Amino acid sequence: MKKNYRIIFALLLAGLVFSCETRFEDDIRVLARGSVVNESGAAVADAEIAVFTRRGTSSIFSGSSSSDEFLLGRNQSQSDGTFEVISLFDRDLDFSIQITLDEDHTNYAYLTSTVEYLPDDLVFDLETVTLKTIGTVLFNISRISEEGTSMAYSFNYKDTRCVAYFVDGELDPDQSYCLEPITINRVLNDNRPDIENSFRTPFGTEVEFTYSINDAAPITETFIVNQSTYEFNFTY
Amino acid sequence: MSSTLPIKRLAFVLACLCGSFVFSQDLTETTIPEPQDAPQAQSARERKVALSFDLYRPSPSGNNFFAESASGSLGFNFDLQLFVYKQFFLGGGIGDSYFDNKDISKTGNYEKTTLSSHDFYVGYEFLPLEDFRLGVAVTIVGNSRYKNNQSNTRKVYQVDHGNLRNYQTYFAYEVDRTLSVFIKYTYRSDRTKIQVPSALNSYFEKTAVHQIGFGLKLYFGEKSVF
Repeated sequence: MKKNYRIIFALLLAGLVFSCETRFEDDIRVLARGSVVNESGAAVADAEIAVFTRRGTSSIFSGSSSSDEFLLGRNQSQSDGTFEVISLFDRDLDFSIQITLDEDHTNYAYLTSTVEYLPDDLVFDLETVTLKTIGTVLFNISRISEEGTSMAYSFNYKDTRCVAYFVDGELDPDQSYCLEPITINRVLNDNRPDIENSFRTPFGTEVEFTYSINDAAPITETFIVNQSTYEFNFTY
Repeated sequence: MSSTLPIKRLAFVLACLCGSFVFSQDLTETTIPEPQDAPQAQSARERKVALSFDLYRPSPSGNNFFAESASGSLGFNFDLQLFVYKQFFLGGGIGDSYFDNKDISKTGNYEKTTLSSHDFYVGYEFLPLEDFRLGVAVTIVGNSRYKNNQSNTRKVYQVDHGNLRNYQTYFAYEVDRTLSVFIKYTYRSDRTKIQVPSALNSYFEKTAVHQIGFGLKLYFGEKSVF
């Protein structure tokens, strides 16, 4: 009887080992094509275009090293900004084409489910993708008024991520997320009267800084990020 | 239905035929007739079956995805030939060859390819000189399987298939009546079954590989089948 259990265990173990194989679709290649420009409309060369099946461990921009197991194809944009990526194909809920340049530019991801969808011509045409330059806002808020003064503040700006979700080749705005507005807020008081921090946002973003001192009516100031490092200093 | 099945059946039938002919030889017949003139000498060199093994270096060529991405390292073949009528033979071969992928932008993402093939061929063996044999053969039907591994772990992979045609020639030296050593050149041309966007059709529809190698061949029997 004991022997039987061992045999069953060995068979289960063998099944587990062999079930770990990943096999992409046989006898097929797809083509991802388009062009990459910056916020001025100028061609962007050397952007990396990577085709993945299944997302990385935590997010679609979790980094190539952790996701290379599911990398189907990769290439770079040419000097005129155009790209063509010959890629393997896989049927999966999370089929993506990710475009990245460097840390100073926004990313772009084309997401779709290929469980039942495959373009008739085997071409994923991303047309023109804009990667905007990212600026870093360094803000420094310090209290110069008397102790006991408090201030609530918030920054409204645009996120640097762009995920376009497609269903059967059509953009689905409800599931897409592209350079969406984002807000950070905080209250400064005697426990922490000053703060120095930063955030990143694409060039051209109009940042709204809203503050309220001692629960007074909020006041909003705006500024446009148009340089790689924008310093914002405020005292209350 | 897979086209590999008829080939496997043919190979099986060929193997059975060869086995029956080889083992049906009269073991008491040990006297080998001495060649007296050219036809008789040629007749004395007739054989029934040959088994061979060869190693080769594959070199992809042409203007196609395989030539522009794959770097061949090594390959091997097992072959079985049945001499049907004098020097005319039918044969079957199986083998693998191994490639590294130098440029994933041309192919999709994988690092290594194991190219497995089997084919059924027809050929003729010339006897130009004493102790030498020159063979030529062409594939009648053949299949190839490209297993594209993403890494050495072989856990993540993809497979392409193709129809194979080999054009091969070998030059063999008879060490003795049974054993020969040979050099062999094969030009293989695969018509792939890969679906691609129309703009890439010509780039993916065919592959070509030059194979140059050497091997050992064992001859059995003293007469062709007919």
